[in-house]
Amino acid sequence: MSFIEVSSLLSIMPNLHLSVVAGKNGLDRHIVTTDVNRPGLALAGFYKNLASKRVQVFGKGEQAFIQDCSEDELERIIAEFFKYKFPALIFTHDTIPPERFIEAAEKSSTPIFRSSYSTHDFIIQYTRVITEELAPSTSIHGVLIEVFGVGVLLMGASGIGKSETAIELIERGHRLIADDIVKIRCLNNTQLYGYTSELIQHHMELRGIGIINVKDLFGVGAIRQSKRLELVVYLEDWDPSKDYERLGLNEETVDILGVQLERLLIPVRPGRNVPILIETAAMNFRSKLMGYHAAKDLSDRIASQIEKKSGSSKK
Amino acid sequence: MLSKTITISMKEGMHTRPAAIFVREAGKFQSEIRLTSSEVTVNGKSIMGILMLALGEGAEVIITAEGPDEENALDSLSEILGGAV
Repeated sequence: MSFIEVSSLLSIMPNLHLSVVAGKNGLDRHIVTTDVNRPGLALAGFYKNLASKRVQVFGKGEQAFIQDCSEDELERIIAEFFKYKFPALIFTHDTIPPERFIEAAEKSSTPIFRSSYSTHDFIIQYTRVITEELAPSTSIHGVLIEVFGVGVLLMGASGIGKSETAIELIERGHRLIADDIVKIRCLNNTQLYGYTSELIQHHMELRGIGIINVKDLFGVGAIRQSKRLELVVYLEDWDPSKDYERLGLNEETVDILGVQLERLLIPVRPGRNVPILIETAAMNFRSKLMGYHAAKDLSDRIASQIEKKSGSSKK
Repeated sequence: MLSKTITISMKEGMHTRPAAIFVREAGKFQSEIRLTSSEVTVNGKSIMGILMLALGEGAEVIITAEGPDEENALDSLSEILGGAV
């Protein structure tokens, strides 16, 4: 199950102006869900179904409740509330929690953060970022390039020519996102985004030349940090015994993190121009997206021509 | 499929030169080679992958070989990473 450590909230959400008020010892606790909880009911004494695995957001209502209650009431609330192991408590509108709250958080190692954001804005921003962080992810061996706006993932055995194909495409004006290791995240169970690893970003390995820096050689226009995956192209050595796609009517797909992507299998042989095939595949992909499917269209026209001919011969 | 956990023995870790040596050797085998460190798995035949792991001396890595020559591959590559088999 994916998770992030509470401590990473400080680095992945710098614009939320979060600061730690208490419970530094609990910063290694895990956040496992994108949902937040406003603990109003719990503070009022109703603990049934309390979502204690969620980050607890203390908005204006919750803050007023604990400010207004008597010392005794606050003690009772604290005694019950801090029995749960929350990942973190967030006080919005830059409010500082009461002293007793801070003490209880320190004792139980429960992190408390302050955010200068309003509750509404905090929840929206937080949810957006945490959804990305907790998205199912994987890492694939391949090259991700943007060709004519289409995110193409080149896959195939080591040495087949993925990087060489990619560098030719870059030279023709297309963009590199990642060479060799493509990190992939699935958002909303429907979209796959490919990223590069910060450590090796913009670098490519070309056998015979070695490691090059694409951004340094080709400029900022030749690279991208991330791109949605739309088309997968497998490169393999031409196998004479295999049937390669001749019509383009059956669309093969491949499953990555539960999402189906269109997949093409392109045989590689000396003399075959693979980069132009990738460009053509990308353009054809776009054309199909815009509603024109060349193979289907031709197939339909042939069928109606055949019908016409057989109709006239019947007369 | 065979796996082994190795502790990196090179003084400066798997920087570019040892990585190139490893990849050259790995490329000689038919089997698929994978290296896993801190929950990240990379293709052992890809130099960029190994560099990305940034393995230092003493770092633990799991090497996996899968294919017709997996035994030879695992022995030979384990030696390069950590010394004695």
